[in-house]
Amino acid sequence: MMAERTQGAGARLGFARTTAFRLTLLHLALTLAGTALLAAIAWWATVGFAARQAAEEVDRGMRVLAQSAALSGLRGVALSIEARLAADRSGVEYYLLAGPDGQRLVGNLAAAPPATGWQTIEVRRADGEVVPVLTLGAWLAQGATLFVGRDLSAVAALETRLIGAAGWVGLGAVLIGLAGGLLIGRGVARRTAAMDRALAAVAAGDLARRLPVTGRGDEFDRLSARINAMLDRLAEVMDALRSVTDDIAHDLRTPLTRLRQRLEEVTRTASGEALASARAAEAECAAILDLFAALLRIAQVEAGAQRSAFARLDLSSVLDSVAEVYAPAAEERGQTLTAEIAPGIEAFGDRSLITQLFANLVENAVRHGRAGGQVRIALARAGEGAEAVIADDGPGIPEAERERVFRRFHRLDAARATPGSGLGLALVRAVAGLHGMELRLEDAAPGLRVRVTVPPPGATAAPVAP
Amino acid sequence: MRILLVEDDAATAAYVKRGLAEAGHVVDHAADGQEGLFLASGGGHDVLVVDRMLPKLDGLSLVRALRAAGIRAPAIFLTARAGVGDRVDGLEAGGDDYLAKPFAFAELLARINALGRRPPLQQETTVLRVGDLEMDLLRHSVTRAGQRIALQPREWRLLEFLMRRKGEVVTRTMLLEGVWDFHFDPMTSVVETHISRLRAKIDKGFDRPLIHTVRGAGYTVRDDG
Repeated sequence: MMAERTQGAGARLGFARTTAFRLTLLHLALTLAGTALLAAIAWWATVGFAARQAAEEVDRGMRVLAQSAALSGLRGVALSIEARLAADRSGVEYYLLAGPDGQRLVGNLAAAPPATGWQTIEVRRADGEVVPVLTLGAWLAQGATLFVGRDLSAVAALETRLIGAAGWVGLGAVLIGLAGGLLIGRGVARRTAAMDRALAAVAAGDLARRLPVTGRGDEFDRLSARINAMLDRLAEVMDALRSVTDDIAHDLRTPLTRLRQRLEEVTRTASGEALASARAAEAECAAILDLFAALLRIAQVEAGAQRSAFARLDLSSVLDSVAEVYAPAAEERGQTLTAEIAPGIEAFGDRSLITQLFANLVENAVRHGRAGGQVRIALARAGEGAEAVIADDGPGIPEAERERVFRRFHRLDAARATPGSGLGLALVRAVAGLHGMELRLEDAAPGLRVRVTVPPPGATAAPVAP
Repeated sequence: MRILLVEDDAATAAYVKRGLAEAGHVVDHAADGQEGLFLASGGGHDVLVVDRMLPKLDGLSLVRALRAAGIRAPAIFLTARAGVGDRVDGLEAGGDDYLAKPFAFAELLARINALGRRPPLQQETTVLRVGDLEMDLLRHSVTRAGQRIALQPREWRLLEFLMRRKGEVVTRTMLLEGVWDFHFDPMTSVVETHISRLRAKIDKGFDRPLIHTVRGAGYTVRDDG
């Protein structure tokens, strides 16, 4: 439960690194870009259109009035302006005809704009409101200036509303985009998490576990189905391997058993040299069988299939027992064996295998440690789990050799003189891997220190590459 | 004792049968699981020796069926596997002991004797005695000929295990399993070392040794006097 919680927190923190999160951001950016483009087109089609229309009308008014000035002089222009103002019910048109000395001749603009050409000026309307007015001013032939203008307040209002609308649309797009992205992302994340969990279980040795298939037939389903097919194949191969191993175990052990039986019978009746030879042969036979059993055991543990014996166990009592078993052997070599084992520490696994793991490590320490030296066994809580340390003050293992000693039949040159199969540490590594324990060989200066990190009993045994 | 042997390998069966007969036991033999079930259902056996891999009905199912039928005779499994988890499977099926093939006959015999001993449902013994050696379980003291012997806890447990089986042969592996819960064979001769330490305290300085080595089999505690 503890593990699940931390895993959940990890998944939340890790979301920023997921593909789903990046897809969400991309989705959001594209949505925003689309909304902006849409707003620009809408602006061009409405506000832009109205502004252009106003300018066209001003331009047309100017051309008509300039023409009437050319035909009938300033007087004609003044008449035209008055007629136009009278006809303008909506009050959006502005005119000003100023004499050569600048005095106002006719028109509804209070003052002349500061310059001729296109201008946008502010005009106080009759109702007191200040409105923007687009004006065009030009010199007439008679030395007068003519200004034609048009109220832009409707265009401005349109623009304001359009900006407001675009803002709302943008906000909506962001929210919907974010929600959609998160929803999609979460769906993807949930499915990849389910796949991840299943694959972790398989890697931890549960070969019967398969990836979930929803039946929707999407790419995840196709991927899962393909991986499942691969796992089926793997399970088949493992089964075949196991049955071959079992067959070998049966077929080879039966004749070896008979051989041993024959030799036992010989030792019962023989005497003298024949008895000695038979006993020696019996011992050789036993050694072959032990080696064979050790190899099969390592293979089985590495296959990770035998979990029927897994249970919560008292790790402290296992180490106490191991320390007790090897204490006389250490004393025999003049070594001091110290055990600092914190009581009540639990672990989850196969008691017999874990006992063998620590027995092999302590056995190594006693056998390869310095005669008359120290062998130290310690167990203490470390974080949620525990850490065991087995240390001696013998010659140790050179750094370059530390990875190699875990290989089957690998023996250090210095150890070749002592009896041993070279399988002890291979089994240690296989058992540690099965239980998610971490092994570290360190220089105890002098000697070898083996550190074993044991996961808490609640945690599911995660596969650890030892 | 009357022993049922369920074993399909004829050579092994013949060997075990002859050995058990020499040791004074009566042996019934079945060559497959069904025959074994048939013979065992009749009851009347003191110990069942059952191979795990059998034709027609495997050993685990055989013992499970017998237990379901109320046959309580202790059963010992023989197995040819390297056996991670096999021991637990065997115990869960209702087996009482477990021996990996190939085994020394002496090992099998010692285990059959231990299983067939049927501890009498006695009132809890408080004092174990072998000759002039006395172990008082309540007062936690060991004396030989009235002399107090100081034992370390590990020596105490080993001696208690041996004394509770006085007169019987106890093998190395039985000691490893029974005293320390070691279900594998350590390379170092740890059992021998423990025994020699215990001997130094129990037998040294006394004219009659009580801890005896049984050649090719194990140890026994008995008073020859």
